[in-house]
Amino acid sequence: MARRYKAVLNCFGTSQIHYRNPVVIAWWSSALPGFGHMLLNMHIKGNILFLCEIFLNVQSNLNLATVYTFTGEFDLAKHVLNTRLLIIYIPFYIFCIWDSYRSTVDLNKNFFLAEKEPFELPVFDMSAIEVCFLDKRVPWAAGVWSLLFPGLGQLYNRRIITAFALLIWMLVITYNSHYLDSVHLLFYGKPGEAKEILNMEWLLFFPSLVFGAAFDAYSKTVEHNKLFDSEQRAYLEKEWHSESTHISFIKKGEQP
Amino acid sequence: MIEILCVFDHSLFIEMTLASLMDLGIEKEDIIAFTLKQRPDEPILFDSLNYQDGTSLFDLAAIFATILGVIGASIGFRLVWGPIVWGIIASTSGFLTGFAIDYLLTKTRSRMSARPSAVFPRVILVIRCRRNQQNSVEQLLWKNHALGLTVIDE
Repeated sequence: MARRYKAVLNCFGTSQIHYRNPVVIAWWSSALPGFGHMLLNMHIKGNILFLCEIFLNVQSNLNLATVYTFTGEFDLAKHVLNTRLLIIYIPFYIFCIWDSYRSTVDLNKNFFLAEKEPFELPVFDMSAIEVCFLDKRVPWAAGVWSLLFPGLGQLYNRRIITAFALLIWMLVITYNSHYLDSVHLLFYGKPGEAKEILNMEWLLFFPSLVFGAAFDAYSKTVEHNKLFDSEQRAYLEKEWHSESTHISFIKKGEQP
Repeated sequence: MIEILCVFDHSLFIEMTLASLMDLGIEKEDIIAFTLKQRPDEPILFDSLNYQDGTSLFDLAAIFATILGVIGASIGFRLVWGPIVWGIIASTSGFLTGFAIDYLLTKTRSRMSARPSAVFPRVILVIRCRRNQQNSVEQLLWKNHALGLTVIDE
């Protein structure tokens, strides 16, 4: 039994470690605290941080203040910020970025060690609640599904827990931001009303959620495909490479 | 006896081929699989995300799309079309900018010509069989998406 391994696969998803750029993971943590950890397959940590992020952000109107800051209305920005929980957001935010960066660096070291060990991976898992198997999937399809609806790309590439978290938050954010109402009004040619109905506090979660989900779906599919290749390679070398079969131009017993 | 040599890319079809060959009555000892090492400096397909040896074309694009999406939606709040349209416009242009920068960087970094297609021979199968099995083996291999094959007469 290997002490460290590159991947596991079961009904709840595929977890895998590979070399990652810590800066990219830290960036996603700053865009959406908790998401960097989800990219690292640290689902429990990621979901707790994600919940904290949305709660703290909505409570202190941070996104709304961002909108006012970008539009140059600094007084309004100061005014809408709710100071009751605002200051605690700072250590929380820095921790998310720092912890995901540090975890990536340490996981890279673990991957270096895991790669030296023999590679075995169960490629098929069926239970009473789910069927799950390793095969090759199309990265851009995963990305596009998650662009359309964060979580769908994750369902496509077997990341059930990420998919579940993203689907729920997508629904909550869509509902609270009134973004579909606004699109509806926009199509009816009422841009003024379309703007008014939007809740900017919630709407501003969208860019990070949608692009984060698409990035996750795409990059994880690429990595799963590589996992498939290396698992099959290990299998073929082990099972279909018998010593008795001899093909070569060198005749048996001949001195090289 | 003859030997049939064929090449595959990694996929489930390889394992289906092996299983079907056993069905045709070919012994396991008469099949051998070789896996090819990848060229060490191989420019990875489209996007490898493996920072040890490859490049990524999606990192900067997603990052720029998110940043510009937030800024665009905020500023769009003041403009006629509103935050959604401006958010989408800003995100899209951010994505394209990020992608373009990554693409150009990658291109200058590795001057290698891009690979013609995503499918690449990575596995060689050698099958020893009787001459009268040749046809059915060949058909099986083509059906399972072999990239090419040749027959060696002993």
